Amino acid sequence: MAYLTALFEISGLNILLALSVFATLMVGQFSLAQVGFWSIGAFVSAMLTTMYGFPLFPALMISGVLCAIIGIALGYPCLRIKGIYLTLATVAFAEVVRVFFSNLHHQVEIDGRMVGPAGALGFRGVEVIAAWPEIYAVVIVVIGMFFWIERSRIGLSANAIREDETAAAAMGINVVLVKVSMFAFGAAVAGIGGGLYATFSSFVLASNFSFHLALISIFYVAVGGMYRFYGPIVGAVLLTSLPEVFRFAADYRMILYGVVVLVVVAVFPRGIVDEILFRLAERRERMRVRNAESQSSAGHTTVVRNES
Amino acid sequence: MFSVSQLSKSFGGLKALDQLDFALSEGEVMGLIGPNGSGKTTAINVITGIFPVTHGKVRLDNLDLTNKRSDQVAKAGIARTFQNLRLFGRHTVRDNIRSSQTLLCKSLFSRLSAIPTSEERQLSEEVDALLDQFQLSEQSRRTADSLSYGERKRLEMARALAMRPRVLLLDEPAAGMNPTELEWLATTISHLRSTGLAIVLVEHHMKLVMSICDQITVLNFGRKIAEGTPSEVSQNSDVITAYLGEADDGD
Repeated sequence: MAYLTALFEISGLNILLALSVFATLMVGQFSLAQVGFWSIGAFVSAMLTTMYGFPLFPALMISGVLCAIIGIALGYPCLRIKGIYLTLATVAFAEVVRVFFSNLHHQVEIDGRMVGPAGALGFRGVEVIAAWPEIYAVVIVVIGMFFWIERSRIGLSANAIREDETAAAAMGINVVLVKVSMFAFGAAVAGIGGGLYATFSSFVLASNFSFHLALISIFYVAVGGMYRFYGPIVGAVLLTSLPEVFRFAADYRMILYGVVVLVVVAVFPRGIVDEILFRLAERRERMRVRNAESQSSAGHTTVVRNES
Repeated sequence: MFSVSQLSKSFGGLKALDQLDFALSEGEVMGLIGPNGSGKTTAINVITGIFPVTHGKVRLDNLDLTNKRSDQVAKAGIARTFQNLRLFGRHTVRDNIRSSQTLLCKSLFSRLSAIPTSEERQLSEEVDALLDQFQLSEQSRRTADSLSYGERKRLEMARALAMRPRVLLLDEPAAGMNPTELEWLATTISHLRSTGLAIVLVEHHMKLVMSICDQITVLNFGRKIAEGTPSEVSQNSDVITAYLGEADDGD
């Protein structure tokens, strides 16, 4: 039971990571920086709760706001670059953050023992105050925010930018404002997620937030779907559960995991959710054309009968 | 009301647009014609802030729009369509039109709200009217990608008009249209003119240009080679040599 609960909790954390990547993708930006924000959130929340006695949710809020501010500072220059260059810039940011926390040594004495980040050894002994209720309270709020955004004009504008930035600007959409806002929102979600991760796992190591995790975060979105917010949720849950499903294969389980991911990508090239929605829309369109054709041929038959 | 003066655009050593001047009043239709590569689309792109201006001014009333961002130009009241259709392909027809209404939302709440406000309901009625006017009501829930070429052309115009513009820049709206659609286009442009909209029509379809434009500006190699009423321009020897060709050459 504890094992399933842990899986449930880790899935919740990964949903937050996937949604933070999705927030930037909503405006067509492919960012690998979310891991950097995740790392900042983890260290800041761990320090605030364990070293300075902050309760969990205020610490998470501070982490989120801090990451949003850094997100604005990073997002603004990133507006000028696209494609592979944007990706490289965001990787560079995540690396800078990783190296910074690998070197951060700031400890205080609490109850006779030294607590805090200890450079490459990481931050051990973070107070564990987050479990599935806290994680899923945040997940529900964040999903609610995406639900809201998708139905508001912000979501409409963000999707328009993703479809065609030039046309969106020509239609009066403030591309800079929407892009930076979504970048900051994604950073805040990652910061809060990182904070939950730290206070759930008791141990934060900068090297855990490396390029590998950045790639995994993109996998969640690529496998689940990039267009609707529930795509990344499906991707995160599926890719978190898969290695556990394949535990019977012992050391070979990651090979099986890789094979399944490849098959999923081949069968659902748009991501699971988007592919299903696309095929449903195609089916509806085919039915509409068929109905229109049968109606027009019925009309034609009537005319022929009248003529005869 | 709307004017450009000495408008120039260079790409490296190439002068794509060289000292273009024209002025337009409310309800006036101006044709901007010329051979391919003469700078017509560049003029629209420079006016709408897609390319920065190398030299010259763009003005709407007393507002200087030179080198403003595209969204600022749109907010000032200049809407456009694109030569190569640039719709939001995955959006529904309705959402394509709604997308360009965001600048009309006065309250921040309307922009942020996921629940329809009274302002949103009013905008929604305008979308209904546009769908009706552009014969897209039946397609309103389909994605733009699934529309036929003619429907997509109509949607681009509807989307531009949803911004309640004062100036409309149409980039080759007749391209690929059949005779019935052309007739519809001519009627629609005439109707829009009657509402006070100033229209710049970039077009190769001479019959359409000659029949509905009040004035015509002719470009060649980025430079204005002639301007005047349709009859003046059609008799201009430079225009005939550069673009129109001798009589009995078709449209």
